[in-house]
Amino acid sequence: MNLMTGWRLSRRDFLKAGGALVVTSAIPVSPLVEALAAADPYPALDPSQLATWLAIKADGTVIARSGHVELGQGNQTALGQIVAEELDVPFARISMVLGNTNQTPDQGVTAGSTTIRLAGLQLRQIAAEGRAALLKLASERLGVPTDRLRVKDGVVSAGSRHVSYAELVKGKVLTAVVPITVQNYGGFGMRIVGTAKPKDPSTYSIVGKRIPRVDIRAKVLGRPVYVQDVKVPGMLHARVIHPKGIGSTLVSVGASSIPGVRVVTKGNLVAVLAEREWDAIKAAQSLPVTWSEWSKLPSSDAVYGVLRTLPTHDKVQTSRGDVSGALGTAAQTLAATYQTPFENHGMLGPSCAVADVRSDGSVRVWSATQYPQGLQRDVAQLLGISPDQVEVLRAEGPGCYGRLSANYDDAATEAVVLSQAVGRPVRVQWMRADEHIWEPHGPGTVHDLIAGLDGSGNVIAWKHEAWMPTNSDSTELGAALSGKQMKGTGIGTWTGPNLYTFPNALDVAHGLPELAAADSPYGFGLRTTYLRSPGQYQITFAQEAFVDEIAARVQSDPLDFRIRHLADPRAIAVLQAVARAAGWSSRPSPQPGASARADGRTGQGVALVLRDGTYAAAVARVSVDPATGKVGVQSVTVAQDAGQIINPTAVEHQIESAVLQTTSRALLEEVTFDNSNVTSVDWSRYPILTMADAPQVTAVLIDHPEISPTGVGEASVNVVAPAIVNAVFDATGVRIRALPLRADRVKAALQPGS
Amino acid sequence: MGEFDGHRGPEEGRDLPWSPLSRRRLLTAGIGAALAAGAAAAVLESCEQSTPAGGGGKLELTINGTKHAIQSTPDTPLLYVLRDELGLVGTRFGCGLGQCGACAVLIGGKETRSCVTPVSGIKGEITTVEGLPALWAQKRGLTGAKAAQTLHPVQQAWIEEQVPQCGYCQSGMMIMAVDLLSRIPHPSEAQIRKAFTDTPPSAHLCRCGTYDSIIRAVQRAARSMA
Repeated sequence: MNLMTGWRLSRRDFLKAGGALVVTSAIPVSPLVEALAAADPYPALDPSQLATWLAIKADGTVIARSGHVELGQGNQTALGQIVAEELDVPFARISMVLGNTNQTPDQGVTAGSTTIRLAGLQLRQIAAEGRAALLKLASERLGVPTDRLRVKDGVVSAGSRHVSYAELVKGKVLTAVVPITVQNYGGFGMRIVGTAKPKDPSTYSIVGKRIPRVDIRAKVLGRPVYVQDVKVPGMLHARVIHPKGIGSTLVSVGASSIPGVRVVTKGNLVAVLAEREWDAIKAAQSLPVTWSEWSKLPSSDAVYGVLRTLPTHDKVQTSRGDVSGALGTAAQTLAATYQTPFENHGMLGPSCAVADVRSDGSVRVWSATQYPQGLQRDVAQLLGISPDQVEVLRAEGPGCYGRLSANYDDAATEAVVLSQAVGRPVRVQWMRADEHIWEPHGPGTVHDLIAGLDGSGNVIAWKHEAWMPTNSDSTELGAALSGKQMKGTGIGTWTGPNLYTFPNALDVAHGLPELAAADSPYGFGLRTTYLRSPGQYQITFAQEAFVDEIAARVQSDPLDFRIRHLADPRAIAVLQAVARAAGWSSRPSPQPGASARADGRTGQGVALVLRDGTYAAAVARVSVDPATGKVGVQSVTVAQDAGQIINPTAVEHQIESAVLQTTSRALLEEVTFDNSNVTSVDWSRYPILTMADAPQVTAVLIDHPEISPTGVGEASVNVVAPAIVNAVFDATGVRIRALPLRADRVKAALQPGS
Repeated sequence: MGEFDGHRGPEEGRDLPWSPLSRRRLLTAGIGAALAAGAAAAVLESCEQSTPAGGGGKLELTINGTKHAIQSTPDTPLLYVLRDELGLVGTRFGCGLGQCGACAVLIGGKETRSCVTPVSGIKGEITTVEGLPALWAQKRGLTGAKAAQTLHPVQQAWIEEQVPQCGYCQSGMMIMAVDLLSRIPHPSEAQIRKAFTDTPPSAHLCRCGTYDSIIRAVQRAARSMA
């Protein structure tokens, strides 16, 4: 990788100066900047041209370009495996270039587990077209029909004669045999339409293998890989002082008492800029700023009642049969209300970006965004210039889990406004409280469920209504605060099918606007946007817990009960696989002798989901300490079927990630707010899982090489929370219907009469 | 990927001039007080040492075996000196409050949060994630090319277990592991969990969900260091 080379050279230079005493007076320019800008020759971006995507270098290495980005899931490696496989070159010769608006085609936002399912399949087709183009060149060179050529390790052979890809392409631009067309460029429906046929999966030797991730070594060595590490010549460090309340506006701002600090205000965007970062931090802490009072937000204690009163935009997800009629004839009904809290994405490093708005009208932005082209357009709109004038260089960032997917980068837009104001490159680094307060959170939801059973205990009616604020706040804070209104905040949405075969079923999402958005001068309220498996996480929690309630009512094993109400064989298969791996005890819940006294016994719970083509089922084993109410999640087993597996190790790590992160969400996490703003301002007031409480994770992968691959980053996120609450019920006989399962609430729920 | 450029680790046999335990207690207390304000400043104030102020090049720190004259003001937390003045960006900014561990370095061999440690008070040699290979080379007496190509076993284990996802917290995690293994060469799983959770001033936080991988990597490192 360029990035590594750049750093190594620079590091050596740095060390050459070493010895007794090193004095470094200037801010060293990060070699990451050079690496991100260092471009191999590439043509003007035209997605219908093969050379836009692929280049064969003289040394036989292959450059493949994708608009998707690495978020820590192993995208770079998996995409490289797909390209290497299709081209028949060793994996080590593939160099992926990701997410740079001047170099990579627009394949849409890296979100919704789409990198493999969409961008990967597009690249697979591109690589197949590339292979066909190379075989045609080889056929002409060797005078042998293409169907008699063989390829191994980038060398095409016919009998004893052979020629390498590098020799074939030397001096030429790689051109597809038959022109390819691109449909819906940049959108989720984007398709590469070509004539080449990708390889038969039964011949794979690279896809499906446990190839180590190519991004890990640099991270382990502490190399500059993150946007936080970007430093450019002449750069100023900025800290933004965000409004006091969500809708507060600036009343007054004084001068900074820190020497050399420059105060910049544009509208309600207030910032301090300094040559040294620590001066900016001190200045931000001490700057005299007065904001207007704003108190239009319902507090987190009262929010669930408020959600039901907001104007809704309804979306019917499932509508089958006559639910009202069936409920009317039911021998018995069950009803329950579930709720989930507002949550943080919780990037471990707060937002950071660098922008350089230059006097010639060109703009460079370094960002960890999930969508470089989206940010490019936003910055262009913010400045009133053409997207062609804006280059977004994407560096890795702390895991963001959707935080940079709809709102592409608050810090970047703030840096753009500030850089334009001062005529120098500006690095905006949020502090911890900025991120905890101002990130667009995961929305809290409330769910009403009702089921009707006939005299034999069969489910004849199912109804699930959910109230959820928007999942798609795309506000760019730099724009909104500086007075440029650009985009709306959207409404809440439902995601995911109801797999159960209940004869009469209705699933309705009451999509809500953002909380208090209508009462804010900025057009946004309590910002909420996509958080890892958005919408479906909340829906699945309520659905899978309520299915468990029904199973308990009819005294049926909750796993068998599910299987009896499913028709999809892949759904049934993941349930059976997880049951086997977890040693599921087939019996109704709660277990015999289950008691609110808990007495240390372990409960088991199961849940199922289908998320964008990927099936996942989980079994959780938990214990409950009746004295404290603490829920201990001992183990979580997940079985997953995402079709064809690209890299089993990466998939296992994604499952481990999903289980640990979601255990954290289920047990601990809740954004709190008063009538003005978020009050959970740091990790002490928004605790997350620590290693002490991390469950043991077992992943069972079901491989279907013949089925098109789907995402692995989100599906298993959905099944963890319901499996845990179902296991708590199994251990205690107490049904808890609100997340998080904080110890104080669980303890209260276990009290007699509660 | 290229080979690693090793550089010198801290000299052995030096006395540790201050007790990290007392410092940690101070930090814990300071953070408790600072929470109400949500500010790092209070923490930093409580940590001020009696050492004469450095700055202007008077202050010297030994980092990864090299002495550096520090230009930053004495109240500057070590984190910003490492990242901004010396270009050692492997130490990450996570919270500025001593709450997450992303900024951990070794000072005198002890895991310390650089985001709440003013440079003026530091006595002891500093090792950052970039200095871990040299630390190990020195311990094992490796020199020349061998030293330059050898990673610290903790880093090697992190690679072999494919621990990082986003990787942002992992420098601090590896620093914690090196500290732990220096005290307890063969920690049990419970000891590993406890070290990463209960070492003041806070648990080491990972948001991506790598705790299980970290446990496996620490165990692997312990085996290879034996």
